[in-house]
Amino acid sequence: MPGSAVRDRRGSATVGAAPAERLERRPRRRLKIPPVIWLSIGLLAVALIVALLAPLLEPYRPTAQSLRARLVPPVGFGGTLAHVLGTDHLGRDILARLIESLRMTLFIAALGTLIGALVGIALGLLAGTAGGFVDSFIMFLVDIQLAIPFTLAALTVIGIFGTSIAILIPVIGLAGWSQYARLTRGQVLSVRQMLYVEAVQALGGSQRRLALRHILPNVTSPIIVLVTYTFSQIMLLESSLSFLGLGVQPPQMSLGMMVGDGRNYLIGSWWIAVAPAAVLVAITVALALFGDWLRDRLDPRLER
Amino acid sequence: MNAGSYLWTRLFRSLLTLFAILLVAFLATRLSGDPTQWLLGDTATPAQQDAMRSELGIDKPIPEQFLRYLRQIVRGDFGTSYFEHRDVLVVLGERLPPTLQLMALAIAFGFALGITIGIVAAVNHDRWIDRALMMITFWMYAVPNFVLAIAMILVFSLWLHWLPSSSYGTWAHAVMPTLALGSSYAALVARITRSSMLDTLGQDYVRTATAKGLARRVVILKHCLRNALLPVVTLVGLVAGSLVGGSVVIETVFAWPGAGRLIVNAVLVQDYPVLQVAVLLVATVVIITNFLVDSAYALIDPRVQYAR
Repeated sequence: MPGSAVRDRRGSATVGAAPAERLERRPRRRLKIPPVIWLSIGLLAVALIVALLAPLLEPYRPTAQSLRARLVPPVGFGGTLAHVLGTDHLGRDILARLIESLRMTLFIAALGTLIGALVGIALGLLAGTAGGFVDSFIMFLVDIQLAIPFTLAALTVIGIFGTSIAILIPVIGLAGWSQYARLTRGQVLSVRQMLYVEAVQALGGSQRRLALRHILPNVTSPIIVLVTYTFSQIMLLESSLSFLGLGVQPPQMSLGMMVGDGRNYLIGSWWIAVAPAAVLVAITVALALFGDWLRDRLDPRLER
Repeated sequence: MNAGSYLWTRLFRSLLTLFAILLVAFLATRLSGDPTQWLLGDTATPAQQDAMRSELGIDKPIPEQFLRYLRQIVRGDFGTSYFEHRDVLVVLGERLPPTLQLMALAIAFGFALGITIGIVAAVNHDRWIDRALMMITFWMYAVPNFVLAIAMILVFSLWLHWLPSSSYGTWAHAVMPTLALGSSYAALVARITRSSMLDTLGQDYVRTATAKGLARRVVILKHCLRNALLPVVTLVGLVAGSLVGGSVVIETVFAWPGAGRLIVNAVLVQDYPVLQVAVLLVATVVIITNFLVDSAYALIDPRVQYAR
């Protein structure tokens, strides 16, 4: 991986977390955010707030059934304001389930991303700074991980240990670790060539201090970009598994599971599947737009 | 390091990876519990279970079991499906052709469409057609495959009645699964082709070719595209693995009778031998594909750095 001093300096200067900024005090460029990105950020913020406040916003209990109000269409398609987005085959309110599912989906994706990022960054730092056998072994683990597709690995673990959130989250979280490990290792290897690293070593700084205080802050900006990508990857992995009935299990619910449930009622009651699918698409699209924009901002090398 | 020793190192690493996956698969099946319970049912006596255990060899120490397991695999004996009571290789073998067919269609579709979009976008760089195409590929990439599948079923099957919503047989059955599985790859290929085409379009030899009066079509297809396709070829290796994950979902949605549905079903009914052989097969294919792609890359392009 080619090293690039310009990128790391500029990147960390925009993030505003690195010592580079303190040294240089360059005037902060005014951040111009295009409207599409404002829209994406707004949408993600709304999703986050709704997920956090879920119990307050749900018009009904998401599991409450009403046999007299089954398969009610949404407002505008023959439904009433009692169920704005309609109901499913058991008369459960779609809006309430949507909010609850959003909460679950975002919760799993956030925790999964955190696990994958922490494990991956730690191993990447270790591989990059320690080198030698440790490096080879960690990269060997990455090779193994890359040879087994995420979905298949997750399915295998679920097949063996059963479906529960406590297993689901680490499994899909670990699906992303290798990307963080490779990125961090590559960054460390290029940052290690820098003069200031040599200076720290010459001054007698320990390996640990070097890794955590001097190298880590300089690799943050590509990692932030990677977070936006793995977050949506993990969200989609969870959604796919739940869609197949192998992820989140009732009475809990997630967006993918709602789409999967709605699949059987596409004839006649399309809204059961369409509502969660639309939310899923909106979030992945917003995340992708935001991630692309962030990458272009933080990583001028990749500008197209 | 020269190309020859690079390939040997790479081959050694691939074999080592495969061995590690065998070990993981073996340990995973041991972790999954005592198979005699499923094989014999609740009515079995402890004596029967003991007999079964020694027959299966799972009363021996773990390292000995692993050696025995390796011997079995070398002989091609991957075990018997708990539920169909047949050789798992036969069970899986029956389901592979539809899956391979679907993957081949998706890859062909993805690359044909992706390369076309990539070329058109690069040639019209920064004009409205480039922006429109990039917008389309963005959506193709961002929309999850099962959402796309559901949307297509709604529109083309239930509203327009153009295509059958599920099952297998005629070409009409293959249209929607191919699109659902292939569209994100088309988007990926399009983006990579475009940026790599833009790189080559700016090269001196392209300017020379244009200057000496060659037709634009010849310059683009013969001089640019051939060089621009190298990164796209690498993509095949990366895509091989994720296609499997995608086909698991897509086959289930469209009731496509392939290995993906077999795997989902094996997880649901806890048919571990089937699951294990499927994982081993996919891992082997991915490892071999990546090895071949890396080798091809090293042989085609002498500038590739061999050291990691």
